[in-house]
This record gives sequence, C-alpha cells and structure tokens, in this order.
Amino acid sequence: MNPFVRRSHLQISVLNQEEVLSSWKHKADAIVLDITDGAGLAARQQARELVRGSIAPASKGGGEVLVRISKEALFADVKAALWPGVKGIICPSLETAADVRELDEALLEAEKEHGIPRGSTEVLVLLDSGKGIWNVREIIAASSRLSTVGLEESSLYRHMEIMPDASFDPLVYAKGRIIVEAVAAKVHPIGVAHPYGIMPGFDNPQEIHRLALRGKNMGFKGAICLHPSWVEPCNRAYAPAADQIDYFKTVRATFAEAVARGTAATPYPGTTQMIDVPVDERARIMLELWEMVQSREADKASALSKAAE
Amino acid sequence: MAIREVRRAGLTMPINNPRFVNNSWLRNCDHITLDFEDSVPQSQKPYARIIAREAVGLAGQGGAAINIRINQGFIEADVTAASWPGLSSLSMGHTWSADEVRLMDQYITRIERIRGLRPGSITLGAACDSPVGTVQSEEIVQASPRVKNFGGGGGYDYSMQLGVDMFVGFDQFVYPRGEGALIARAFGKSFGISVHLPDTSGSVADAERSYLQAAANRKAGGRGGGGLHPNVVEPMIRGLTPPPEEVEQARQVLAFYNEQVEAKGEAEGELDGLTVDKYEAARASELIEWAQACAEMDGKKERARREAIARQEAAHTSPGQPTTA
Amino acid sequence: MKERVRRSWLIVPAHKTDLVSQASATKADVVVLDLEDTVHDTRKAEARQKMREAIQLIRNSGSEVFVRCDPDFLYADLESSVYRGLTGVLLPRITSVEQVQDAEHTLAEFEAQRGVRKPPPVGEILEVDEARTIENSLELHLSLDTGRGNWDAPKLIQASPRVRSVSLGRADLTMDLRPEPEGDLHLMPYLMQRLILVANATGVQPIGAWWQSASRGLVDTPQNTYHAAATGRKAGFKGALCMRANQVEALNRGFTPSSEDLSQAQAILHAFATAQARGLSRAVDHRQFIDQGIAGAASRLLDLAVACQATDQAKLHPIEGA
Repeated sequence: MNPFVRRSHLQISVLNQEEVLSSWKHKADAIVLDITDGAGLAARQQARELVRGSIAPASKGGGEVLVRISKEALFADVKAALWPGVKGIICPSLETAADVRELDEALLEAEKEHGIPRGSTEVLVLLDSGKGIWNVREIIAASSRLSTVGLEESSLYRHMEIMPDASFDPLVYAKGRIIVEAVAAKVHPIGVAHPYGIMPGFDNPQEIHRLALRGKNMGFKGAICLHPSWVEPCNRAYAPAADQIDYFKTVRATFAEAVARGTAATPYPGTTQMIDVPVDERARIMLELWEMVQSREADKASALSKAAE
Repeated sequence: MAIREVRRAGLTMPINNPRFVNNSWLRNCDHITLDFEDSVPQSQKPYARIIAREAVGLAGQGGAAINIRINQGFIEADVTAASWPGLSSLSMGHTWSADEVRLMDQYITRIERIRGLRPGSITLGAACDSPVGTVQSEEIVQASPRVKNFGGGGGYDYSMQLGVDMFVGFDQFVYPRGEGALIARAFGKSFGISVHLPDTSGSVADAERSYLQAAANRKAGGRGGGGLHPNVVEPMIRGLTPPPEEVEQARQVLAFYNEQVEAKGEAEGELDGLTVDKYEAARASELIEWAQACAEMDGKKERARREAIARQEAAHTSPGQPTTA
Repeated sequence: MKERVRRSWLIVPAHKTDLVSQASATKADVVVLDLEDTVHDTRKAEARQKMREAIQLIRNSGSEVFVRCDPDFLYADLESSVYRGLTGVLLPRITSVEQVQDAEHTLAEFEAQRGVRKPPPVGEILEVDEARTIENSLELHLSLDTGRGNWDAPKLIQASPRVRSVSLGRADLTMDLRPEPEGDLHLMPYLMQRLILVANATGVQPIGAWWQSASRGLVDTPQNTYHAAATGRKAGFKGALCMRANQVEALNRGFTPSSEDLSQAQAILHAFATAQARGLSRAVDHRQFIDQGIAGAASRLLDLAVACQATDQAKLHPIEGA
C-alpha cells in the first residue's frame, strides 16, 4: 500500500438515515456505512437498498466512504454495497487467506458489474478469532486490496469466552501481533487502547483522546469511531502533534548543515541533545506524515466549504 | 545453564573519532562497539575502514571484547576491513534479511581463512529494530551458526519504524520484545533482557537510572547490557554483578539441595520458606558461576589495563591520561 | 463436544500415599498423578507400582485423573498408568511433533490392549459397548514449558487430535523466568497471552493462572492463588495447575463466575434483548456498549456457571468404579 492517512472511521448505521444525512459534518477521514446493524433479514435487505443513496450525502465533507458488511452474506452484501464512490469494504470475521480471496472474487464481480475500476476497492478486515489473528500474515498477504487490519474486540471476547473488564487487557498480545504484522506489510493497524476497544465511552473527549493517543503510541494508525464524539480526538491523536513540527524542521535543517560539514552527529541548537542519522530519519518520517495530514485536511475543508454553498 | 560471556556494559562510538577510540580502553567496559555505520558520515567510511585494524587494537587494550557494527550496503568491504585479530564479533545495525546474514557469513569465512583467524571465531550479533525485523526473525536467527546473540524489539529505531513516541509511560513493546526473546530461546541464542521501567527523561547519561535498570534486569535474569555514555558503565556493571549476600544465599540453597533434598531421595524441600528443588538449585549454581565469571572478567580487565599503561610508560615515559569526559 | 469444567488441576507425587489420599479429599476437578518432576529418580519404580490403585482412589473421590509422564520414560510411565479411570496424560517438555505422535501411538496401544476408554464426566455412567471415537479416547495435555515448545505451539497442538488442553506448566522454572519490577515474571504476560490465543486458534483449552513473582512454579498461598486464577480467567484461561492441596479451593473459586459476574451478564443480556425487540442489533446501557459479541460472551458465562454447579454437585455423588 502507498502511504495514506485515515485516522477516524466514523461508523453509522445506514438504517439511521437521519445520521447518514448529517454524517459528513463531523470531519471524519472516513464514513463507514454499516449495513449489519439491524436485527433480522428484512432489516438487512432494507439496509442494502439504502447504501447507494447514502454515498453522496456521506461523502459531502470529503470523507472517504466505506461500507461494512458481514462474512455470512458476503456475495449479496458486496453486490449491494459496491457502487461508484465507495472507497472500500470493511469485513469482520475473516480467518484465512482463502476467506480474503473469496471476498476478492466478490469484489471483482461487483466492480465489473457496476463499472468500477478493477481492483480499486480497498479491503479493511476486523479480526475476531484466535485463528484470524494467528493467520494475520497470510490474511494481509492474500490481496493487494488489503489496506487496514483491526480487531472486532467484542466478538473476540465471545470466542475466547471472557468478559470485559476495564482493569485488565487480555489482548495485549493480539494487538501487538496485528500492529507489528500490519506495519511490516505497510498496511494500517487500527484500534484504541484498552478499555475503549471493548467498553467505549462517548461523552468524555479527554478520555477518548488519551486512549486514542495511547493507541497511536502502541502503533495504531487510526480507529473505528462508534460515535461522532470520537472523530475530533482521533484526528488529533493519530497525527503528529502540531507543536512538534517546528522541532522536526529544525532537526532536518541542522543535520543537513552538519552533513555538509562532514559530521554525522551534531547538537540540536541550544541543547546538548545530539542529532544523528536516526533522529534525522524520524524527523523526515514525521514531517512526511504531517504533510499528508495537512493535505487530507485541505481536501476535507474544500469539500466542506463547497457543501456549505 | 551455561555461563555466557561477561558483557555487562559497553560503549558504542564512531570508529573515526580518535578522542573516543583512544580513551575507550580506560572506561572499564566489558565490551566496545566501534561503529562503521550511522555515526560515520558517507564521506568518512573509506577512512573508517583504513583505521579499523589499529582501532581494534587500541580499544581492546583494556580487556574489553571488541565488536564492529557494519553497514548493510557495504557488507564485503566492511567485513574485510573489520576482521582482524582481536575482533570478537560483528553486528548488524538495522533490519537485515536472512540472505544478507548468509552473505556476511561467507565473507567472514573467507577472511578468517586468508588472515589465519580461528575459523568461526568471529560471531554475529543480530537485532530486530523494526516490525519487518520481527517478522523475519525466525529466518534470521537460523541463517548462520555465527549468530550467537539475538535481541532488540524496542528502542529508538523500532519506535520510529512503528510510528510511536517513546517514553510515554507504558510498555509499548510487549509483543516485539516477547517475539525476539522467545525466538532466541527457541533456537538457542543468547539474548538481552531489558525490563520495562518507566522513563520520562530518555537521558542516556543518567547513572542512577542505569543502575536501577541494570539491577532490575539482573533480578529478571538479565546478564548483559549496552550503554551509550561513559557515565553509565560503572553503574551498569554494578547493577549486573551479584552482590556478595546473594552469592552466599545461593551457596546455602545449593548445599541444602545437595545434602537435604537430593541425597535423601526427595524432589523438593523447604529452606526458610523457600521451596528448593532442582530448578532452584540450578538457579543457585548459575548465580555462583555468574559471580565467578564477573570476578574473572574484572581481574582480566584490571591486568590488561595495568599492562597497557606500563607499556605506554615504557614507550613515552608519560602515562595515558584517563579523561573524565 | 461440550468442554468439561476443569478449574483446578492438582499435581501430586504418585508415590506419596499420604499426599494422594489428601488430594482425594480436595474436590479438585482434576488430580494429576505425577511420575515426573516431583518424583526422585530412585522412587520412580515405586510410584509406577502405586499408580493403578491411586487412579481408582482419585476417580472414586469424584475428580478426573491425569498422569504426568516423564518424556524420557514415556513407555514405562504409560505402561503403569493406562488403566480404567484415567482420563488423560500430561506431557511436559514437549518440543517436537514426533514426541506428541510417539505419545499418542503408545497411548493408543495400551488403550486398545487393555480396553480402556476415557471415562465420561464425573457422575455419569460409561456405556460398556460404546464404540471407540476420539471423544472417548484418552486425552493429551501439553505443558509447553520451553522456548521451542512455545514457539512451535500450534504445530505441536495439531500433531494429535487427542490434544485437548495446553498449559505453560512450569515454564517459569524451566525457562528461568524471574520477577520484573512490576510483579510479573519476565516474559510470562507475553507467553500467557500468546498461549491463550494459540489455544483459541487451535480449539483446545488454555490452562494456567496469572502467576506472579511469588508463585514460584505453581506453589503459592491460597490468597495469591485466588488472584492468579481470577486474573487468569479475565485473560482467557479456563483452569490452572497447582501443587498444594490448599490451592484447590482458591482455583475452583477463581475460575467460577462470581455472583457479580452473573448479575452483570444478566444485565447485558437483558439490555441486548430489549434492543433487539426494538429492531436494533446494538445497545447502549449505562454507557456500556452492547453488541452481539458481548451478549454472546455473557450468555457463555451463564452456561459456565451452570456447568460449574453441575460439576460441584456431581462430585458429591461420584459413581464408584466409573
């Protein structure tokens, strides 16, 4: 995958059209139209039918539109979900490379049918079983569409037969595994720190930001937001801190001068802290990410102002 | 448990910095890494190779084991320039592939033969400093029998590759450090133990913190350590050397096991509330051996330093000035 | 197959008649008669001789019986242990697929020769003419207590369909894992969560407790044992090994859902049912987010509570000679 920025994935039930119509206002990097949030077959059918008309309102704010489907009804869901304007499909419960290939086939068919460039639809997987997490490497490698890996914690708890407890995180290993495998394969791991992955709160922006930032410092690149209150804190947490940017710029400039002078280590101006190759490299990475964030924000701002006209 | 080499504290320095290299043997390090890699600018790398033989000799005067960290992009040139009598090991700074490790092994084998070094005497230290490294670890540790140590899974480079800030108050590396430690154990490599201690300063020169970290590492079973600043050498050595009272306690445990448990056909017994069985006895004898090995290393360094100073005095009639920098 | 409730696994040296008899009174879900670590080499023959009788004693007391074999003396150990009443074999120090397959092979031979079947859950009667299936064959439990064993865990577990449960055994001692400043044993949190995940991926029961530095190889006070069990349950363990009779009650309690757990689970299910009645698949109750996953976890907890109770009941009236 080429580098990209997608910090907040605001998930909205497509059945709740009121929320769909206002979803673009929250400045999420992506809007997830969920067609699985209804009880029973009739609700699923209704949700599928609502997808096509929801794409335009959801994308008014410049957020990418994703559709969340379920593995049990893969082909029917994909067929109903994939229309021009949909950037990717979120699918939980995949466990093997073969599962990913099946989704890939369904996407190829739907892309062909709906005139969407072949292979352009992303796949975001949410793993929810020991098997899926153990097989994360083959799952990521199974398709070049795969852009993002996360956990569906609640259903993982069911599989492991454990109950949520705010004071204990049983998924340190599982999260570490998907983070390291995803980053190594240049795709995004997404999630937040315990306990908000399993016991999310929606009314405390500081706490949301704290646990998202902690998630960032575990290696996550963004999060699924179950409520609009998560969007702003997540956008902030999964980007370089604005007050670090001048520091990184100074690092790069100072180091470039030092290299020109023939040394590979030089102190940061006014301190004894040394800048060497890794410090410079980190500054380069952070500034690149910052540029991407800025350009993403600019796209959204221009879409928003157009929508307001 | 077989006793590992004594490598409690060491310093890493650019090989082309004469001030560091000339004084390195006076720092009481157990090991010294001379760097060809990140701390040496491209323009200086050819010069670094020319002076390597002399630098290995200089740095080794105090009895420390000498390691050279080579560049991934110049494996053949660096291995050839670095492999001289007195060199213990070569290390790989960043994430290497198994193929690169195999290539390095081949060059070392050739140069050992050409220069009459004992075959297999130069070992390799590998570390994983990125998620890609973690993913490749299993293959890397098996790529060459020269790979004796395996470590990493945290630290500056790993944080950078993972995209996280360091020193944020919780252990961010449970998974990569665990993978590294488990792979090392699974394939019989030695490995460093670095337990998580909250650190908000990130200073590499903090002597008190270095001591606490080293002592905590030792209590968790750690035996080795690195180091980036002369200030931390002594505290790290102190932290990783068993204090006499612990050695004495180990002797008592061992004696109790031999006389009161094993000799009586029992599998376990109790000494002052401690269950003593074959595992506890093995721990005790490992501790005693480790204490002995530390004492031997300290003696060896002391003698080497004294002899080197005597040689210098004989040559110049003016002793090398220990610096305090 | 419904997994059996196995909260406490008490290891006792098979040659120590007093400890075996003490174990029979503990109400342990499982008693592991040991022929390995806790039996000195000079006592192994004696321990093997006493095995058949010990199996009967323990089984009649209402606990399931496992035997811990020494992989170096596997044939002799199994020869003395595969008798009616034995449920399974605990194998320590496993590092290769061949070891597991060898054990399976030898076990199957004695089983066929002697017509031994895995007994049904305590309190139920064994049908004599039952056909041999994997469900009524003796089980294997792997104690993955070495670096290599843990690294290759999935492969080792899948080496035989008889493997139904795994633990780290005495990994803290075998791998010499010592205390970290915050109380955990070095590497153990990683190893425990890894094993639990692997067990989940391969469909076997993860056995263990969140032992901390004081535990020293499954020996700890009842109070610490209870905490290790309660935390272990949060991590996904289903029961744990121990080596002292006074730890059994703590393990049984720690791995049984508490009454607070049960009321929490009932509240979750109630909220979920209410949401479903309104056509929703997710609910927010007391600021808690409830979906099908959490509701599923809650309902499994209620099932577990029922199963624990049934197991405790059955132990009061074990069927003799089953």
